[in-house]
Amino acid sequence: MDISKDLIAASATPLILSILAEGESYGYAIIKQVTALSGGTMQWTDGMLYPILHRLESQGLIESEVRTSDTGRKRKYYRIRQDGTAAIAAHQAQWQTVYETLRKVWETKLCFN
Amino acid sequence: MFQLEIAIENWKQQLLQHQTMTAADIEELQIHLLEEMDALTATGLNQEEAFLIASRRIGNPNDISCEFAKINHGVIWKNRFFWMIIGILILQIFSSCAVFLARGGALIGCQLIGWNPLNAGIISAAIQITVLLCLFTAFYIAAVPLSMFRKIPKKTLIGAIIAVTALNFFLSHAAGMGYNLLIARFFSVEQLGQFSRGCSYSAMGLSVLWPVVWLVLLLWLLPGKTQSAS
Repeated sequence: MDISKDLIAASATPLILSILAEGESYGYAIIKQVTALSGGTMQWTDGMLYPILHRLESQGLIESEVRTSDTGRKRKYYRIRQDGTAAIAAHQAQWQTVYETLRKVWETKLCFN
Repeated sequence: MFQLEIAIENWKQQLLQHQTMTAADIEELQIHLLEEMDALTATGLNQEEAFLIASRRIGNPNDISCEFAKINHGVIWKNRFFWMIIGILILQIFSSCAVFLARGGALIGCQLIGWNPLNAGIISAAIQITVLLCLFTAFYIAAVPLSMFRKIPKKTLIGAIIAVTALNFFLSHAAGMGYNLLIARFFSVEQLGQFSRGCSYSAMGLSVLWPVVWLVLLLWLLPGKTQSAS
């Protein structure tokens, strides 16, 4: 089962923030982690990650730093900031509400079946 | 044979085309591309296969440019402003050229061919319009590929601006003075009067014509007609 494009777009921000909350990371690694976490069902278009990262950075939720990796390649590492951690809580509450609402509707429907 | 450097360069040019991404944005994507390619070649793919899959995973350059357009407002306006300034500069130098040639043509027509000085205005207006049309057509043909791949080296740009400014000064002042000397030398008072009357007529006509031309051009270029990105 593949997740729809809209849902992927909607969940991108909380997902990125939550991954960065575990520790700093860079674009390629974030994509790999999403694929691994979702068992390959959430296929991001890799290029779309960066505009989201840049937006989060300009909103002050994350910060970045360019460093040379062990392999000698330049990488831009992203790190979560305090505002970002606070934003995760807000996202969690929203997703929880959506999930609860859907669950209630679906449970009621099951009763009628 | 597949050449990685050329393939990457072409890919970067495609991303640059829409002028919504900064050099840093493209560099970050390129690093991503190379990391993805490393992982793919490690599984046994050759460079060409790895490049094709990695660039496909990154996504369609048009779609990515659109996504960046949503966050890089500053970049878009900087690019627009760049082309506005280029436009002003070009308009300035083109009209200097046209006026210079028109005045010279009218002078030669009256003096050497013996046209009525009163007709000087028509001659100069005709020359002005022709020269401007030719210059703009030539520029359009040359500029379309330029605007798609904005790769004007800084040094060339600075050199061009200095050259244009110098030429502009020469055409509109130094050469203008030369013309005035010639007119004073060869024209009788009566001829001079007719000559300047003819020139005023054409100046009046052109001052109506140009705004009409700009209006038509603006209507043709009206943003509503081009497809919006979102």
